[in-house]
Amino acid sequence: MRKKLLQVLLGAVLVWPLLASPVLHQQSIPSAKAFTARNLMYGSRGYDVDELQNRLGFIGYYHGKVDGVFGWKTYWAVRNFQYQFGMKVTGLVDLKTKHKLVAASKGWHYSGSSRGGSASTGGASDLAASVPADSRLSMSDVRLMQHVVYGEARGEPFEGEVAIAAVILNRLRDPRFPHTVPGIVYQPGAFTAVADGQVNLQPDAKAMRAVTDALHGWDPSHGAVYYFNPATATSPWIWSRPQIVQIGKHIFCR
Amino acid sequence: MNKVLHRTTWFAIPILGLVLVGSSVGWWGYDQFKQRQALALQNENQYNANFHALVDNVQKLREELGKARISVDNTAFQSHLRNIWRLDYAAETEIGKLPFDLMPMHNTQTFLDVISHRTDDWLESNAGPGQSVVQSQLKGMYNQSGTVLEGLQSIQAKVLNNQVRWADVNNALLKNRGDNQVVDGFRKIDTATTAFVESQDSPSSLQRGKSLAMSSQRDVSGQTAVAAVKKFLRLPSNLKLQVKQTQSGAYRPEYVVTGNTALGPLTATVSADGGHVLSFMITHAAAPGDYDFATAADTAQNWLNQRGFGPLERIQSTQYDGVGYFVFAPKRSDGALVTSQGIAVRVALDVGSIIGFDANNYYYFPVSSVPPRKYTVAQLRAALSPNFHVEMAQSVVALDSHQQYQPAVAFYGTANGETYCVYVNANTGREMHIDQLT
Repeated sequence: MRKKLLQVLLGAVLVWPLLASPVLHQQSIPSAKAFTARNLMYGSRGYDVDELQNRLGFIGYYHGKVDGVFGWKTYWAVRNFQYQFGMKVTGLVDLKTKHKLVAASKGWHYSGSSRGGSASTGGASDLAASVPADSRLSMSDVRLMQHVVYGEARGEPFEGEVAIAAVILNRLRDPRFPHTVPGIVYQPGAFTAVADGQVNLQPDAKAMRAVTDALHGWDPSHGAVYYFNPATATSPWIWSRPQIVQIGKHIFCR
Repeated sequence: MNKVLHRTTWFAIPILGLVLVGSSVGWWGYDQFKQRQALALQNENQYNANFHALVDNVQKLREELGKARISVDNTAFQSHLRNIWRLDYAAETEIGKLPFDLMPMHNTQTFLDVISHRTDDWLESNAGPGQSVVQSQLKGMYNQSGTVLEGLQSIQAKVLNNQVRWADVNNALLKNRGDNQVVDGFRKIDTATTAFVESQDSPSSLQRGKSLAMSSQRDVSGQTAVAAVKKFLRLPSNLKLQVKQTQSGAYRPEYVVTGNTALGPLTATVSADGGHVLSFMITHAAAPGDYDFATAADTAQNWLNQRGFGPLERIQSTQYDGVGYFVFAPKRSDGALVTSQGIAVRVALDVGSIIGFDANNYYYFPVSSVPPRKYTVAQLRAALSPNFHVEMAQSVVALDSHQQYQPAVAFYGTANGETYCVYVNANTGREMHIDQLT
């Protein structure tokens, strides 16, 4: 009797976090065998990616972390699984692949998610996801850019913040400037926010989003490598630069 | 007596207090002053260290260029090239630490960049000292390095002999005064190097807007640009949109079209050449939503197809901040993907609508002529490192470091527990570059 009570209690504790999320409750508890209905592909996130990684790991195809993010390791595991089971090798986890995988990993049972997480797409942003793989920037570069954008342009329209990040990226491609993000940011006199220490302020979500958007190719500055605030600009030569566009208080030029 | 003492005390207390406060303020002020002096001196020394290191590096660079000119042994020549590259890199690093406002005033950095790209190319192609192109370019670089060095050394002499302070250099720059010896010296270097730098074709990474691909297309008006945006986004024709043209500093004239859509504020860019919608962005307050990511990928692709973008294949998919981000590459008739012409589409994952699009690379870097493929995928694959476990191969057309389109094969695979993409030129059989994807 006592043991049973304990089991019920334990069950309640285990199920509680699942109950909190209605989607999870509906879809994973009654049938730990069949994922959700959605297809999974490179870039997918959510608890069903956890399940995919767990199942692939159970039968020896996946050796990475179970993190709910469909990355390259998961992609290769899926492709190898599809190849071994005589399916068309696509890397896309559709209904057919799921059926095959569930059948192949019969011994695996859902034992509660180790992490919180939801099936919903989107979700919290993390730094790693905000750096495009081909941009050749490190996460510390991105952090530094977020600080500069916040220090230089908080209070500006969102587009103006993206444009500051874009200017840093444009300098990176321009032979006249240092070839690293720290080199550009800390060049003496290059950014007022660096000179007066505002660069050390903690950037907000808006500045972070602005940098992410710039990294993904948005350039509202139209290729600018300089910008200035006409109300406070102290350097006369900046006025001689060919101007491209004004966003908020800043004039962007090349 | 007692009373007198009493009165004296009452006089003495405020006076003593004043003296005490005054002297401690004075002492504090002097301390602050000393600290500021120390900081300023430290700053000066830092600038001096960077500047003198720069002169030193350029001098050694010139010496190494000279040695490379008279070297006939292939191996030794390569080692001279490596030294040139190393010294060049060191000099570029030092330049980046000098006052920012000096930068546009001299072409030294660009000059060094030309050298680094060229030595890089020579090292890559195993160029020998016997090649006449190499010799004539070496000669040009050697002569030019003399001009730059001369300029730098004359500034150095002024800095050392006349005790020029970098703080004054900064001040002169701020006030646009031309009487500063250092500023003057850099201006002289500029006039001496401009011609050289401008005659060199220094390849750099994709620089938007510098391409003239669309310059021959007919100019469109602002109203045509607005109409193009409305048609592209299927917006109601009575919607108010603002349009302005970029100013004269823009590389190519473009229109910026702004307005409010049901999803949020819109900013679109339309090329004045030909009136193509190059990109747009809707600032949509995306909430985490339930729109399926894989469905969003299809939505994005269909959306592009409906707008006349031909066969495409998805080359990138990721999600952040409630946004699905997908990049599609145009597929050529032979199945090769043009990876440098990627078109990006952003899908809001709460409602599944398209909130962003970017086809700048698609329009500005059209594929002109591609050398023929001489190697098959299997041949190239056989030549890859045995440490690299290939998972997937894809024929592509990619830009090389000279901004020329090359036929290539992208090999995706794993090594060291990471995923890499190795691009191999299918015309020359040589490795182009490697991207680390994880």
